[in-house]
Amino acid sequence: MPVTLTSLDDVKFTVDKEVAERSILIKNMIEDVGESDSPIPLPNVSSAVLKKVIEYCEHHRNDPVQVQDETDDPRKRSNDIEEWDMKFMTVDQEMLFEIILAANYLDIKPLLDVGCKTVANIIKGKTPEEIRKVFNIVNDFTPEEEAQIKKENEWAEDR
Amino acid sequence: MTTRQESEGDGKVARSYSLASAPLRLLSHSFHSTANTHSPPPSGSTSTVSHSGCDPTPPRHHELATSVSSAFDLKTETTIATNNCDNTFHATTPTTLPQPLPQPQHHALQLDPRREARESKRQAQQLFDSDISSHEDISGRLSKAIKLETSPCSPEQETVESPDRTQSPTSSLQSAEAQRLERLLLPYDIRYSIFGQLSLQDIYNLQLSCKLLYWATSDQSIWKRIALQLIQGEFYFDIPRTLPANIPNWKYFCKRHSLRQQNWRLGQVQDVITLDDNYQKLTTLQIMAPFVLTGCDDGRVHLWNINTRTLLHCFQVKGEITWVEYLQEEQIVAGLGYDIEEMRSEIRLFSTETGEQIGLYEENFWDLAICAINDKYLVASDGEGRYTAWDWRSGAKISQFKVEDETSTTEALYLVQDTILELHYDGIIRLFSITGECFGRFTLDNILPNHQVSFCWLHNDLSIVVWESSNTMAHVRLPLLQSKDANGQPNTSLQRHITQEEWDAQGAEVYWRHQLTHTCNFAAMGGGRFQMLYVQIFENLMDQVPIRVHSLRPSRPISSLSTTSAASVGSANGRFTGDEMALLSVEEESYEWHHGEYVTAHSSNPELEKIIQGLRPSRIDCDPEYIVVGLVQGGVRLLQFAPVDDELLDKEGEI
Repeated sequence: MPVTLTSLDDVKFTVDKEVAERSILIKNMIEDVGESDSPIPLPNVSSAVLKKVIEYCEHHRNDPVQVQDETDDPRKRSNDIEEWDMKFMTVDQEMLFEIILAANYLDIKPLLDVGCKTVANIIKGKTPEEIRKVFNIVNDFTPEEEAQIKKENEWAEDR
Repeated sequence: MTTRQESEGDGKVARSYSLASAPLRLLSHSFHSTANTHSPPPSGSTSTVSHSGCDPTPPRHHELATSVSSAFDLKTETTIATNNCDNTFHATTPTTLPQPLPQPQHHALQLDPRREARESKRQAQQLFDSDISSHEDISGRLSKAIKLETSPCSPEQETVESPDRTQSPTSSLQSAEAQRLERLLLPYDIRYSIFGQLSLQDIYNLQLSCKLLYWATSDQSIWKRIALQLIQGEFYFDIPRTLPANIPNWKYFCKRHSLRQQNWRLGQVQDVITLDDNYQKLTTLQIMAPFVLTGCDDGRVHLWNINTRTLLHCFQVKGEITWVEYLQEEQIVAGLGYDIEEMRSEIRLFSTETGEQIGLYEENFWDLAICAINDKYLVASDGEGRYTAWDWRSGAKISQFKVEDETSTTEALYLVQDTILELHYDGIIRLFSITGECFGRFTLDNILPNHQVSFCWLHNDLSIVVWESSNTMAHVRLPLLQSKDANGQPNTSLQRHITQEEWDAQGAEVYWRHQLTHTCNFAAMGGGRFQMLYVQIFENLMDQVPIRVHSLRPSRPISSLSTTSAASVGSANGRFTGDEMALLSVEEESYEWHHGEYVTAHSSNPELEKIIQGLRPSRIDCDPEYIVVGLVQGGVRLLQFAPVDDELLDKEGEI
């Protein structure tokens, strides 16, 4: 049974219910609304992003649903990103962030995990200067503040 | 419990053995029976922790009892803990909470009221979570850090407007990207999912890059995850789910344990603590945090609590103590004493609840030389195959038997539920039931070619570390003993026959082997599955006796991406190619053993150094926090490797 989703910029997307329900938010909405043909508005997600999210859900429509684990440890999850997911995440930074935010809003945990892991991999092994460069952010510490943080964290250096 | 006297026999086997060697055989006590009674560790706890700040209770570490005299001028307790609490709490008043960061710039559409309510509740919850977990401690620091600048803006506004403060021509572009990053990191779930995967070093680098990232990586739950990883495998007991009483937050916990581990690697002692009670010569010594158990040659058994530095109990056994054991859950202390003059040995059991003696066990037919106790049974042997077993709760004798004698004496005895495990001097292992039924006999000969086991330690995963007299140390795995049941849980019962063929097929394998460069007279091991610390001393009454500290630990995780290549990945607009992504996503963790060179325990503080160099140890033991030293002239000293709390808290207070 198809479901219609409306993005922020009023673009409509029609997907199978099974695909849409990869999003727990949408799943709950559908349960609340019941049998209705009215489109589900998603005012926090633009069409470009929603398109990508739907693409992900379509590809993963048959994956087993992850059970929310109390003792969930990000490191315990599988460390490998699938090849398809890796290609899927080959986007510019802005889109990457939007996908993560959308996955968080729509409550699609596997997509959130993959997105966050991608960002984590960007950060790994980088010096502070490299981190600033890759995210295009400015060092807004004064030299004194920087020295203070270094002192606060000096025990963490070179373990 | 009434005391029980064994019936007199016709005469006992006259046997003499050197008392000097007896303690060596009996000090394979690292099989902390308390560990056996703990439930298996939980599989990590990383639920969203709403940490409510530090516990205002002052650290117990500094309380002194009157019976303890300090050889070293300990720092007096200050109100630092309370001060720290003030620091962490000052940011939680409504006026100092930073204003919400810029909301997503989307048009508001007509919303279904129910969904709106649910959505706003979710967002509020996210904000709430992020507020509670991050602002208590960190926004205080952040605003303090920001206040260093002479700026008329209030701290809250400062945080929000910091991306705009730059004067460069491209400021609008940079600030948009910074705002984008800010928006990404606002929800707690996202922050935790990203930063929860990073190492301590990465978090440190993030904190140094900009204020936003400093704030974003300061959630207590992130630090909790790092903390648990830091001490993983180090301790026998359960990983703490909540902070210990004297630790204000998880970052502090990380700091404390990280420094402690660094100090171990460098051999840098932070403090020397004295536990004195007119000791005579110490014959046995054990540390199982937070207790220290000692036995003297005058029959006294002492149980100390390290945290409070109080003597909890002093029990008396007849004769020189050759074995002691403390079962925490059952609250009993057992001691074996050998009276030289009367040539009799006895075991006494005491309750640590009442302080009373609850059992007396003797064997008139042979000497009780080596013992083991667990929550059900007390087993004693003469070291040559004769065994008596009692149910110590009722005092009833369960069995008395003799197994076939071996050419070598029993070096170590362990009780695993109702199976007795024996390790002989020449590397023979025997397993039999509490009633004498033999389950198997194997030899470690092919992996311990020198046939002379001096010390050994049985870990609670049933692997053994043995120290041969050739100064080779080996960690031996016995997979036959470490079988798993149908559910994949470790099988703690050894009640089954193991044939020689099975043993030959997969009986024993060596995890690692380490050749030490110096001969030693005595050794002790402490630590967990993945990090082992052992100390050795060479007992020489005339010369200075160095306490050598060795640590073995897993090698560091290797990142497959070097720093220089990382810089070239990702162009100005942030697009990543598939190859680059592949490079970025691989990280390997290796658990190869890193054999640390030994270091000699010392201190950079001259007073402490003088004390340490003046120690004449006759017995030592260690755990991840302390080395406990029993002195030749009597007396017990604790060498502490964790940073002394008030010094550490001073540094925190400065931020």
